[in-house]
Amino acid sequence: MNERKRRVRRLRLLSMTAVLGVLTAGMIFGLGTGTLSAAGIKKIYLACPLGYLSTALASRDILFPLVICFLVVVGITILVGRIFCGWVCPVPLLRKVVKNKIDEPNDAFIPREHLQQEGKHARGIDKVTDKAAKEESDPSDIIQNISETKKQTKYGIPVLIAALASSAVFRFPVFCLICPVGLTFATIFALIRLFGFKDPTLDLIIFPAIILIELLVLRKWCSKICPLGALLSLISRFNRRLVPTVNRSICLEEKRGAHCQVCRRACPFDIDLKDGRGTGHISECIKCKECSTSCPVNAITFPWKKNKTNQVS
Amino acid sequence: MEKKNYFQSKEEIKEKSLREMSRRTFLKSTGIAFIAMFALGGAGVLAKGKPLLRPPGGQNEDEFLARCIRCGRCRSICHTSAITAAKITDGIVEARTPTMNYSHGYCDFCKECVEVCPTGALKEFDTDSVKIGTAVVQKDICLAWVKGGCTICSQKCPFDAIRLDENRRPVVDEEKCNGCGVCEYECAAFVLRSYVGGKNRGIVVRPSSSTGGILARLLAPVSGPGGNQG
Repeated sequence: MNERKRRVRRLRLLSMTAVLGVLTAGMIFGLGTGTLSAAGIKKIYLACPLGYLSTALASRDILFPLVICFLVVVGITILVGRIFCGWVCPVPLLRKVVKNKIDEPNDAFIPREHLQQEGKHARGIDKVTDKAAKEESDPSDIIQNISETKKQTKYGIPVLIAALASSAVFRFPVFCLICPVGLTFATIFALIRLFGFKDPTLDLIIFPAIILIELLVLRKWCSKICPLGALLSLISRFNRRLVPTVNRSICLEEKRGAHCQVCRRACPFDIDLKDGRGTGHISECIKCKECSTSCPVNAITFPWKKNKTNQVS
Repeated sequence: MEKKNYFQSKEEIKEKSLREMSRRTFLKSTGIAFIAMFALGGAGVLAKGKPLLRPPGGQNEDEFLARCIRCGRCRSICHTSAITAAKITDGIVEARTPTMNYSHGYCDFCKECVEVCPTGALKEFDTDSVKIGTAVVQKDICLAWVKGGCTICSQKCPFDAIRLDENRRPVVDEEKCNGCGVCEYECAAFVLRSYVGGKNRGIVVRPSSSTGGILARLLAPVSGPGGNQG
């Protein structure tokens, strides 16, 4: 693993830990900062958009001040995409603790055996002269070498719809009961209760158990199940900033005809930045920068302003 | 076959594979998601626990549960630590929602919890008419009822809701009591009786409303709502 990749991952973990730490301190010292379900100071706060939609449907009320909150979340997501998922949400941090992996591995994308060899070869391609492959390779050759994509069933949007429908029918926010973000804070509170008030509760076993089931049994929580992520993805379809962009004049595949695909393999959401063959859509990008730090020629950037010529359709 | 597709266009391959996936599997995954979420919601409603003491402004239990997102801001801001979180043993839906615990503090109706509640689960209330619950004397634990002598709760009650009967035993005036919890907080029975294993207080605030779930309603014993006066 290269130094840049390690640094970005460390930064992400640091950012998640900082958010968790500040909110935990707020809990311990009674500052009313709340949890990620609704965090802020006094009347200024941001609330979970899924929590908002669920409670609005359950109470049949637009919940006036929260509408503004929801619109702010929508605005932030349009501006910077699903940055919450990659840099704030404590779930990747928990995954790091439990499985020693910050992101879910991309197993939708299966490079063929010989492809991997080619990939190794591609890394050393710098030494090869420019006229490499491109003219020599025939398009049919490329397609034969293109790896297979395993079919993926994504539950994000179905779970989102089902959670909202269930909240409307049963008249309480249903998904909140099993939300790993909420349960993380509930577990922290159970610990505070144990050490601060000498009050051991069953919560201390049940809440972490639910989180562990979600992380270990359901495995691909973030990319396949999380309805909050699915909701943010829907909004971030309008995201135009910090979108990973391939500089096609540097990219090995584009320029030298190598079958690199390292960026797609690195992406936990299986987004193919070059021709959209992946099972992930660009709106699912959580800005984790794995693609950029994995690229052997640093061809991927996250520009603040969209550059039409390099942007992928 | 693959070759042909490639020569058609990359877009077509992409669209075809995406469409294939969405049409067949979307219905299946939606079905699974609906079963899971409705099972969870149904289980929550059926297993609704006993009514809990809510912070002031959250007394309409159904309204409260529809709005509470379990963010814990009210619990965190409470300066007397009277608000705690319900445990999983209080019910699947109730778990993590705020509830009053008067062993660490009592409610002084400062309204800070209402101010920070993001969803309006705790509503603006009138301090004179709000009623968190009603204090109930536990006659088998209360020192005055068991042995006599103690008058702490009636002295400490800020609303003169506890009078002493002819034997100087506390009796709660249900009209005046608003469930602030000062009596429960101050009650000394759990300390003085601890040598016999008592850990409960001689006076406890109980929720007035009893809007339990279907199961709780079915199982509820047929009795009047708390006739505690002797």
